Amino acid sequence: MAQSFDPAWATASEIARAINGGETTATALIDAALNRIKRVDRALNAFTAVTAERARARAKNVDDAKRAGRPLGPLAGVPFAVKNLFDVADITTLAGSKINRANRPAERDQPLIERLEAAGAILVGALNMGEYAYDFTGENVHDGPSRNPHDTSRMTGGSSGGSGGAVAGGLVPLSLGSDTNGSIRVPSSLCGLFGLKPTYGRLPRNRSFPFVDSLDHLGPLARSTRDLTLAYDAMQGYDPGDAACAERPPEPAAPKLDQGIGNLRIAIAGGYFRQGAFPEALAALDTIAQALGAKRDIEIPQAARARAAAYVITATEGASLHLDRLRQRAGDFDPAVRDRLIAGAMVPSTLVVQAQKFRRWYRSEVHKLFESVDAILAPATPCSAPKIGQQTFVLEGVEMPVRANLGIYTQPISFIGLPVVSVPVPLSPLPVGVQIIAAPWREDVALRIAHALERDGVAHAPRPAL
Amino acid sequence: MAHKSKRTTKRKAPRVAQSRRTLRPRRTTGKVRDPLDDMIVAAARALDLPAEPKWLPAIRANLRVTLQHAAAVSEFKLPDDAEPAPVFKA
Repeated sequence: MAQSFDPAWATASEIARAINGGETTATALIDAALNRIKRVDRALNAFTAVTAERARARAKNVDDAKRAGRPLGPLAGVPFAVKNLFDVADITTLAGSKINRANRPAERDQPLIERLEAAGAILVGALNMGEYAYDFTGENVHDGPSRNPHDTSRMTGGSSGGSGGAVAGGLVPLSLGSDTNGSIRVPSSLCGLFGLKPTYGRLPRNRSFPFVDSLDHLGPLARSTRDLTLAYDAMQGYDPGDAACAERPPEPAAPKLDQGIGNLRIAIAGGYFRQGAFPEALAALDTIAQALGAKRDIEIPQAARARAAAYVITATEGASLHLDRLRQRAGDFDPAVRDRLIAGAMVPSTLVVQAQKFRRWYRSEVHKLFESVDAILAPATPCSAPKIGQQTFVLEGVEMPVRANLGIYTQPISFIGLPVVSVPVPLSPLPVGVQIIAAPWREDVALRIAHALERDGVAHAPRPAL
Repeated sequence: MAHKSKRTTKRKAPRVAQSRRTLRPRRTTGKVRDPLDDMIVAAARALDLPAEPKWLPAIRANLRVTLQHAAAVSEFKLPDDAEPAPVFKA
């Protein structure tokens, strides 16, 4: 263990095991993580704040507990970091903006941070993101772009760009992001990571800066499915502070993780989900489908319209959130975000209600599909990581903005809150992700499939040459 | 509250007036005014939103895309009793 244990690339479960077994200390691990962040983050620009003092104090608590013989949590000593829209006590919640910098520091941690720390994990900082989460690129005009560890001239994907870069770059084994239309799954795909967007309402979002309340989700990114599952299980549970949080008891996924594929019925999304995909996205999808023996194509009905409806709801609800900031501080927004929000404010409400009506119809139709399948495969992104600054790409012969279209395959799924694990396929030269989509509240199914793919070496998080 | 009232009554008119003036395209022969420009100017005035002239092309492009998406949704016929997704529970 001592010879092969590299704190930068160890998984969260390996770290917790090493600390529980007395092979290393939380203090040593946190010091190593902080040193690596200091050294490597200059190239990645993943962190906007490092909570070194707090992390060292927490590490000491873990080591004291170990010495006193008290039980340690399943994530003992595991360093993690969060997208800077999560409230972190004593730090201002930026949400990727310039405007929020004038706000007071948060008084209390976001509940998922509290739950991870209750399981022994240690927060080491806050992470870069696209402004107000209205972004799929990971670029930020105020803090500079998050950079992809596999090629620092390329995008991480966004909006949880730092959450992708920090984990893929070996700065932390675990991060948290948010996903309104794909902002966990897109960086997971471009950075070669496992990412979980749970069912809408599964994890509480209170004390995080919102974007589109009716579509916002929070969730983890990691380099292994076991880590994703450990974190997910530690974070489950009702919180009355989030009106959308479901009053469901925790349903741990870890006990089912090793069950393998078994008799699970897995189909491949056809039609919309193959249109516009670059060769690497189709190759990744075919690799995963073949490994799972999935042969059945399935049509997710009206997926293009679902994406359109998600687009409308996002533009208008996002605009509503920021209306007063647009009036008073329009010049302080990222222009690309501002112009989209102003446009969103001008869309008639009649059209938004129609989008919400369509949403319910579409939900009902997609739920019917899960009567005959347990999971559906689809590309996570249409391509691997574009160059930073690239404005457009060609989808189905049409030149389209990258910023709004990296999430074309993720939007129709989060639109109705389905749980998804994005799994990385380590293609050369760059990885790309595939979505494993399950029925509502069946995160365990998606995680179980992802774990089988990882166990068989089909999906894994490639280590970059940093 | 007094501060807010002052802002909405005293600052609103000049800013919108400026927007209307500056967003109006030049009277060049052969050029047709984009109908969305009228909508943007009117909505900016109604909502007290700034719309600097140099922002107009991007706002117009974004609004056009969003309305196209909205049209794609609207043309899908749903029954009159179709419920919107969010349901309020008292």
